[in-house]
Amino acid sequence: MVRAEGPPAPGSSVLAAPGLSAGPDLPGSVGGLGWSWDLRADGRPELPASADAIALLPVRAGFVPLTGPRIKRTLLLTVRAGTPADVLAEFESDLIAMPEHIGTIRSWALSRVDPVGGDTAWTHAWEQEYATIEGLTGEYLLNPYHWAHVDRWFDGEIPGAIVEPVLAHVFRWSRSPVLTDDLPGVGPD
Amino acid sequence: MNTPASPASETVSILDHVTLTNDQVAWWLGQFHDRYLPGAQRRGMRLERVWRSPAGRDATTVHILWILPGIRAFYAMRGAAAADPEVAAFWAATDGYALERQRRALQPAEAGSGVSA
Repeated sequence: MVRAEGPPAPGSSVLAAPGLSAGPDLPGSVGGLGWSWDLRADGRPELPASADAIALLPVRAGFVPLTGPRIKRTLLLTVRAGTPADVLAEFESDLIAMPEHIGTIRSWALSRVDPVGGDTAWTHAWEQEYATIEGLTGEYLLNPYHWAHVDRWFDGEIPGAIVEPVLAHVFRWSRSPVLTDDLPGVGPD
Repeated sequence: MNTPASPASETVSILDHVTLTNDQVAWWLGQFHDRYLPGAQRRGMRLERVWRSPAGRDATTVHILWILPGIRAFYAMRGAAAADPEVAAFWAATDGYALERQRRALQPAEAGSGVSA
């Protein structure tokens, strides 16, 4: 996943990257640089100096067929250093369960950030696709599993919160699937 | 297994529990009223009730119930609190001596509230 100030430059080798999908961040996005790109690469792709590339290692993913344009949303977050492994596993489990509760989430992926991809403070990416913007700005936010359960990991007023306050929440349109059924971590369910 | 989304206008209750040694309770309540309450009210939190209950021989739990007018107001409160270093400082000071502390966000469970078992 790449945060960038604009689209891939004409002639850039990134344009040939498998699965390349890019678009401008929509109003309501926070913490982006203006555009978000998703692509697959074995190594670090050729990027503008101002771009922020985050290499992802999926923990779990789910694929739900969806035709037509869709909203691709990415949440980049940082889990506090020193968080015990069992607590981290509980946090990841809570995120992974969100699609079971929130019906507007279609395909999704929870990934850890691969430090091999370069220096970054982000530790996780939580990605989803939605058929409509309202699926994200409505149901996703208003579901009690989100605000009355998962949010506690993010709320600095609650003991046990483990997520640093700086987040990147970016969403954009994509004409085709970004989170596909061959994504590592796609389970049988 | 889908959980139905709540109506955006549904009230959100926040329930704080702070367990302190008995000799700290009055002082902490003073700090709460002076340092936390005004900012919380500016963030849209309405103080509904404050209770206290014994928590053993030498300890007391203070229970604080807040009401927010909706889920979007809840998120707005969250954002404002995260941006205010005084909030983090207040809870860090509290956690330095409190025996236990919890906060839960609650949705109404009355019939017709859209909650399914």
